[in-house]
Amino acid sequence: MKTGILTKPEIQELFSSMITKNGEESRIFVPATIEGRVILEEFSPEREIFYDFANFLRPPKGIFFPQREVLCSFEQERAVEVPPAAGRIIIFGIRPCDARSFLFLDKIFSAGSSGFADPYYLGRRENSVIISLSCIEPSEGCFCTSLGGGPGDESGSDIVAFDLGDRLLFEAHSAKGENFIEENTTEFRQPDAADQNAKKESLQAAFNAISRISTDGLVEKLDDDFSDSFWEEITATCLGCGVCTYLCPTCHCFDITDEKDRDGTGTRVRTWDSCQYPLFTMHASGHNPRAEKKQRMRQRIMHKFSYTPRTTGDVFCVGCGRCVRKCPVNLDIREVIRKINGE
Amino acid sequence: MIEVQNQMRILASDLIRQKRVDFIIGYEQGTLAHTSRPCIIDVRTSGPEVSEKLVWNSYCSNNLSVYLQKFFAPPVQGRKKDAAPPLRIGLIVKGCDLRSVLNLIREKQVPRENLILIGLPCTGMLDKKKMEINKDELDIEKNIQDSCLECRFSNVKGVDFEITGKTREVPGDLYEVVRLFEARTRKDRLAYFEKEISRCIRCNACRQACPSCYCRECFADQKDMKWLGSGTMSDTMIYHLIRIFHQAGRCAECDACFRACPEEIDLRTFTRKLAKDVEELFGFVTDFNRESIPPLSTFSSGDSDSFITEPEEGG
Ligand code: SF4
Ligand code: SF4
Ligand code: SF4
Ligand code: SF4
Repeated sequence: MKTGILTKPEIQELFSSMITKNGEESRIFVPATIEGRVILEEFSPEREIFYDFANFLRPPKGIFFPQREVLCSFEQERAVEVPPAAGRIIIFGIRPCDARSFLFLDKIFSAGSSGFADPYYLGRRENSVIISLSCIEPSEGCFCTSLGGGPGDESGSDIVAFDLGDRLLFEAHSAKGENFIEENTTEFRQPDAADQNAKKESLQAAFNAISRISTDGLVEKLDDDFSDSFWEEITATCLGCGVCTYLCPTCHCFDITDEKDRDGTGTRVRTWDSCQYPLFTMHASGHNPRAEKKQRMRQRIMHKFSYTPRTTGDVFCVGCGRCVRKCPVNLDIREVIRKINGE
Repeated sequence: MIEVQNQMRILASDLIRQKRVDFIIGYEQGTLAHTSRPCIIDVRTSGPEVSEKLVWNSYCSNNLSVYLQKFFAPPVQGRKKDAAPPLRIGLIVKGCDLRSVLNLIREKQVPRENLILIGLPCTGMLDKKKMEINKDELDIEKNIQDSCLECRFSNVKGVDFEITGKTREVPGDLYEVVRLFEARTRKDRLAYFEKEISRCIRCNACRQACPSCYCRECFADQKDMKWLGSGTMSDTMIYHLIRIFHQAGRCAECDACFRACPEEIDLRTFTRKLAKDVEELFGFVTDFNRESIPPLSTFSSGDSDSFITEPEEGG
């Protein structure tokens, strides 16, 4: 495994030099603050990388799967394809849970599970390098360790960077990651024992702060015929706002609409959608198979914890805790799972 | 507050024992720090001891009246033949919740006779976002929600049961924030509006959390006659302008929309501005008066039309 140490100012410099390098343009995304909010923002040399945060409000899925994307435009009968933007994408500073979510999204948007490879998603994704940042202070609501992740987990990351205060320890976990360190090898210093110790300590502290749930046998438990009243009870206070799905790094449902002007020209647009909205399943006839919120929440839970484990082999939750923290009525998915477990 | 909580629990268990309610809507302990959350208890199937679940503290900010309308609305897919008689709901209310309830009653969404309103004295609710920033939980006033700072209705009126206690003093300047906003140029105000809503992810949480947004089919969801496109800036702007205007004289300034918004978009400056306009132009306040007619439901030839202006050059 290739490793290397960079100080925080050196990282700033490295990225500045990478925006255009050897004739290739890269879009680099880094953590930044704007008016007190921490967001994943496109890097420019003036933009200071921000390290003191738990996680971004928004998941990073929008970089590969934008909330609104024009797929093609048309003029009367003639369609004009709008190809996805080219160029390398480097994402630095997302948390390991979110990096892990890309593995799941990859399964959805590549030919594997659906039989259809999505050129828009894959066009961006294939040309990307993911450098995740280990967690120091997990948020209330994080439960990644129950779902195969962890504060220094490498799944989905080409490189994991460990924040050691004034410096970062980079560890490559894929060929892309090895290449990245190789390409910039003169910039990196080799880690010593003190660096390795600092890494271990910071991880342990983070690990201990993370809440846990059990997902043992959950797929089978969800097969049991849960009564309607179970779902009714847990969703009694749900507002149906969809925040839990829009902010979820693994939720990937979308809608496609044609937007036409009077002269017959227009665009075909893909936008995020959510199973928590009644319109999601509304038939043209007016019939809605999921007219009630208990049915919609059942879909959300079943999709993540029963259907995708069967179709893709993965639970579609990385335990990032966004839905836990941001639900306006504190409908906590950890609690729902515990109830299903009979705890 | 503990005293109020105890009285509330006793009252709730009495109501259950006397079989005067079918449901009680109140607050329970949440799963995160500094969090209470709504709970809806079906008391037909539980004993009076469930009242022990109810809590009352400075985190009870959710507006519970948002759950009322669905108890009385006809079901989405046709009314069943042998529909049960309407349920009786016991509802815990603060001043702002009560004003939302009265709005629902005025607009004939909820029958007053099916409600048992339990009014609690409110000293203001704490704002989790402010608490995170200030990291100073002890200074209560510093962490009070903005809506509570401008509240003049913390003392409930016209409820079925009132638990008395300390409430907030009516502030001197009710519309300070709006006045500051109004003092800016038109261009500046528009820029601020655009800056705020540019973060909107169109999740509609603001609408879903609002007790006055109970429309069976919101204009934003209409497909056959589509008012809104897929989420360009101008679509988002239309969504917000219409949602906010639909709150004229109906908004109880509870800030449920603002709290629900995951992007922490400043929705309150705009709803508040509307409240001020409605008060100044039509003399209407969404107060505790059940009989008053909200401006959007009535018309008089003497109504102000001062808001119809020529577009300003430059601004
Ligand atoms: S379901 Fe919730 S905790 Fe799990 S990945 Fe999605 S937002 Fe994160
Ligand atoms: S965020 Fe909460 S209230 Fe909104 S849809 Fe999800 S569970 Fe329901
Ligand atoms: S925004 Fe307007 S149309 Fe939509 S639910 Fe609210 S009041 Fe109804
Ligand atoms: S809750 Fe916030 S992000 Fe969601 S639609 Fe409303 S303003 Fe937009």
